[in-house]
Amino acid sequence: MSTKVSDSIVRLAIVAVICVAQFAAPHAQSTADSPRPPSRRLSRSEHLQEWLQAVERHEPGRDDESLSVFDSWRPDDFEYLAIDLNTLLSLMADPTIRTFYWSASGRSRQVVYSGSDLRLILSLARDASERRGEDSVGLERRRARNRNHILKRGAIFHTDIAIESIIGVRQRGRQAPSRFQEFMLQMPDGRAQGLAVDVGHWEFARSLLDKVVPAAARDEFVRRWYTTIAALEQGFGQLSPPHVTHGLRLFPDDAGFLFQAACLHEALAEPRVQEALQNAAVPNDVKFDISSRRAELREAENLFRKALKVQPDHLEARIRLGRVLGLRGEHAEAEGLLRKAAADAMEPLLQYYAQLFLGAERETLGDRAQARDLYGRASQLYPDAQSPRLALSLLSARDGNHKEALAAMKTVLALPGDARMDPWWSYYRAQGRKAADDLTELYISFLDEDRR
Amino acid sequence: MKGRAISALVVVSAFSSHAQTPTFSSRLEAVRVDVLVTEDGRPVRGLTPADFDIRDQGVPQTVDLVSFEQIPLNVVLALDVSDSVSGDRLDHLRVAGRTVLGRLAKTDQAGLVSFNHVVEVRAELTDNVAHVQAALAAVEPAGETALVDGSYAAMVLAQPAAANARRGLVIVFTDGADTISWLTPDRVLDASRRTDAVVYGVIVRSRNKASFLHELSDRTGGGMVEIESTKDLADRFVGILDEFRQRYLVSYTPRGVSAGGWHRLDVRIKGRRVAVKARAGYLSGQ
Repeated sequence: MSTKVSDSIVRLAIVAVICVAQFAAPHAQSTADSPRPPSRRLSRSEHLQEWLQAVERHEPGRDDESLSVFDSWRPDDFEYLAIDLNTLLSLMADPTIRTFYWSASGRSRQVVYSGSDLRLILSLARDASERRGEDSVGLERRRARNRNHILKRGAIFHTDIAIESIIGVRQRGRQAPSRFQEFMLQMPDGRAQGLAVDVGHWEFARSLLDKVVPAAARDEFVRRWYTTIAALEQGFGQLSPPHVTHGLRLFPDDAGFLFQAACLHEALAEPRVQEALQNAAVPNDVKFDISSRRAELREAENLFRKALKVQPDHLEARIRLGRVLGLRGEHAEAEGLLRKAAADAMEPLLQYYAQLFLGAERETLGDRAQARDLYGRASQLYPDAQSPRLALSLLSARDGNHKEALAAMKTVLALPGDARMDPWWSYYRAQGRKAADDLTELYISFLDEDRR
Repeated sequence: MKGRAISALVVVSAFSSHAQTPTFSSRLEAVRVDVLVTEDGRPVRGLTPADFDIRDQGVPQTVDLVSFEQIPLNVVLALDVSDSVSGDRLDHLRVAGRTVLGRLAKTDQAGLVSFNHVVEVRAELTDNVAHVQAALAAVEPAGETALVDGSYAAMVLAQPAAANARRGLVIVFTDGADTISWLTPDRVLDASRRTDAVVYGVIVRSRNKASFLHELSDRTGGGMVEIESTKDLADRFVGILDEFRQRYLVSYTPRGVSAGGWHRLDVRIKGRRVAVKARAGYLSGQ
């Protein structure tokens, strides 16, 4: 998984996608007054069984056959799965109950099963509860472990399907259920291209993790999952406000998540995103939770500041806050932050960003000599990068020195494009550069803990 | 000439007849301005220095030299080869590039800058048009659009060297808005105040705004062509070249104005109600 995802981040570097999870009014849910028996080969309980088996069979991070389980499913099946999984969890907590409810959009409805469906779900709940039956731990703790096992494995399962869709291994565009559907606005080269609708695997994974006990907000796996997925999506150029909004409710004080949330808002402020959104033709009921450039920059600043308050040595947050402040016209503070970051940065990529942004701030503040020095340092870090070269050239051009302006840019611009690398090109995805490794580590630690 | 490369060329030799190529050389104080004069959309020919009323910071100047058509060109094509320029659009672009290059005179030079997220000088200024055409044939669309970076690079490439009696023309083609440039529009527009090169923009009309290119062409005294489709792109490119050849290169030595800073220019034709297009001004000094 790690290598495949890393490669794909590079491959898909240029495509930006905005996602919005659609919370359509729940309809045709399995209720006492509106049961809608699915007309297909498998019954509802059999679909639940199929899902549980696929989740257990799936090896986290692998492209195995179990990920294809939904290929034969219809949109309704997916919606019933959410309801029936809820029933299963209820039965795991209390095997004696026979009245079941499903809550959605603030409304609770009773769920009624046929005899055969109920018998199978009871059996599945018993098996799931006994998975850790021989543990010496107490009953409550055992129940919690078994419940969380299903929920976390389920989240991993849907995460891997979603990743396969992003990297193109799995085809998108299947009929999406009305509740768990995701609209994606494709923006290749800054142009809004129609909406794609897909099964909302991210949303489904989030809904599973919400049910983790004793509380999702106190669970280390859930915390790491939110941060890693936020980074991973951005690494792929997917801008997903729903994930960040949901995550901030759970982890409002987590520096890592605050940083990723801030990066998202920084990216949403980009003119290309703003312009694509303004020009996109989307149905009235589909809303992308994106504000104006000014508001997005303000939110990015706010979140970067919070991240730094929690973790003052978060170097990357300081660099990005410096840039955002510069964009907001707060050049003096931006300059101070970037100067400190440039001095502290060890990783070449972060050094490069710090020097480049600091150079721009010095240039804005009228210190062209120091700007020249800083752009020069950035250029030394990545000799083939065009951005600092163009910046150096422009300084000469603004001074009226045409000869130097030409010389500064020609050495790099004459090189073949495919032989060059400029970290500026991947700035809005760089926050996800370690996400694939983080996801692998998360899976490994989950499996270790799950085996105990 | 150091530090004054953008606007400082002056006549050293005497005014030449129309049949000859005038000779320019450099001297610090001189300013030259590319001027298009049209009447009912048609270029006005036969104007002499006495016909031009040039005001530098509002101060009337004496025009030293006016030339028309004879000065060789530096033509730089700056072409958007981002992801969206594919299929027919790319074919049309290649044909347009080839066509306009084929219209150049032997004394002209051409260069090619392509840009997606990568800005690439595919051909430096050369009188070997076949070389530029071959470079054009090799472009393949991919990636995002660094319109600001690419326009800047082309502008620098087209700028005539100090002692080079040439006129710089940049034709920028794009079908979208900038998505990834490092350089900011305001800084490039600022740098354009020190260039003699004239920028024409050709943009496929879309919902995306092209305010930067409008502004750049306006400031350099060029023009914007907005098209619905690239089908007639070759005609558009040739039209720009033809129009550019119809421009006067007017030179004067500033008098009665301060040496440094921004100089606003007003160019008119005495006694005639004609349309005049020229750059808005020039920046002098450090």
